[in-house]
Amino acid sequence: MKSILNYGLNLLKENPVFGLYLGICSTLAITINLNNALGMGVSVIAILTVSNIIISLIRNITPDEIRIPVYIVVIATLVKAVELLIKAYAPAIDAALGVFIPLIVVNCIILGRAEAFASKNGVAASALDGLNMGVAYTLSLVAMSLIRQILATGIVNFTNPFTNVEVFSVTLIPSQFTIPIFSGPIGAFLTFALLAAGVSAIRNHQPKLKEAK
Amino acid sequence: MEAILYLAALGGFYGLVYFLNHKTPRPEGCEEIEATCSSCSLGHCGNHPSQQIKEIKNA
Amino acid sequence: MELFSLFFSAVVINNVVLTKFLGMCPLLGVSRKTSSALGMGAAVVFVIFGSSVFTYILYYNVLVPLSLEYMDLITFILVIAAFVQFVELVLKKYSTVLYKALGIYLPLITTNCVVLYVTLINITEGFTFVEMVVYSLATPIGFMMVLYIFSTIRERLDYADVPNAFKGNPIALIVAAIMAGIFTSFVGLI
Repeated sequence: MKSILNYGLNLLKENPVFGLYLGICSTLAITINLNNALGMGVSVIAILTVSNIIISLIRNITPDEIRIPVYIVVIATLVKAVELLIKAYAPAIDAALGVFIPLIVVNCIILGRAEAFASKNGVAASALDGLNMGVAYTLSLVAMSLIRQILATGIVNFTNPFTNVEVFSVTLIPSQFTIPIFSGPIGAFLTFALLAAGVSAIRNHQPKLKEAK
Repeated sequence: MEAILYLAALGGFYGLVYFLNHKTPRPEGCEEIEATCSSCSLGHCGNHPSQQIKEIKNA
Repeated sequence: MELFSLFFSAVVINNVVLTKFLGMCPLLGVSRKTSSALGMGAAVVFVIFGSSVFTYILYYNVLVPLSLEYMDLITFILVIAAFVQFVELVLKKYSTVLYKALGIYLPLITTNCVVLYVTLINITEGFTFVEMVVYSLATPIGFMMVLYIFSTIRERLDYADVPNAFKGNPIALIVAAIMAGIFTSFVGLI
């Protein structure tokens, strides 16, 4: 239980999205509902883990001066492969996310982790780091999309992307009390700002707690 | 297959230009200016401190 | 569609930053001073225009005849990255003035979402060459405009009394929310 609490606290303090502001372009655009957030999150977990593994495997044979071009080629190939797979097996996600699947290539998290971690550590550690960062990213996306979806439509639903069958649908707020602007740009920026401020407040609070002890 | 040849040509061209650019020093009077991008956590950007150390090593 | 409405909608109505949320990384990173915002904006216009032209020509003259359309993503990102490095190399060797103004922002543009977005949209929307030129000039001009306005507001915000948790990026995002609200009122203008 304590380790889960520690993990959760670490997630808040070193959150790649709300703490380091990496990969915010797709965060703001995708998080309209839970389906999109999970679709994007799972894709990023897959791409991040596999790219970390590959880059860690070739880290000793790539010349030091052209690391970045090699990483970009690896990541671009992976993203294109994932995009083609999604187009074939989960067309609902492709229709919802649109151009943001190819834009995973320039998601700062993937290239950033490759450069900072996978190029210096072994395969198992890099794979674990990729999973970790991917899960942190997905949880941030899910948090933001739940807030936006509940406030904007009052309904939380999830559809299986492979079979287009609705898995569950819960109405939490009656439709008279919903605030539709949370689906649009204003709501996106506002939610993100409040979540980022929350994470920043927790970060500022932590050292004071330790001093008080 | 043409795809692999094409990819190798394009990737090779990019690697070459990147390498040439990395080796070319900044013009005089420009060594100290830094992009005023605060709170930058993009490690792959050419201006990031982690890339500068490599430049000194190469020169 | 006519070129003027294409231009106007890309700059104002469907502004790439405020309605499509692209280019947020440089927006939050470089918008603290007005001078850096202008330099970044000019660099982005140049890179997007150049790489759009190159990727368009490469797509329709090399990828389509060889039926390698699935290589579009790799091609575009490699062309963009190579173009940025090439421009930086040329500026370093031949123009110190321009390097001082724009050159330092060039490495940040390689992984900028807007550049890849414009090159992809040019293909998926099936633009003609002229439409592509107009669109790939209008989008970064819209980006530069928002970046500049943002930087003028942020310079003032540094002197304001902001709560501690909101200092830095969160308050900037709230400003962006207000700007997004203002820009949505332009829908239906032309």
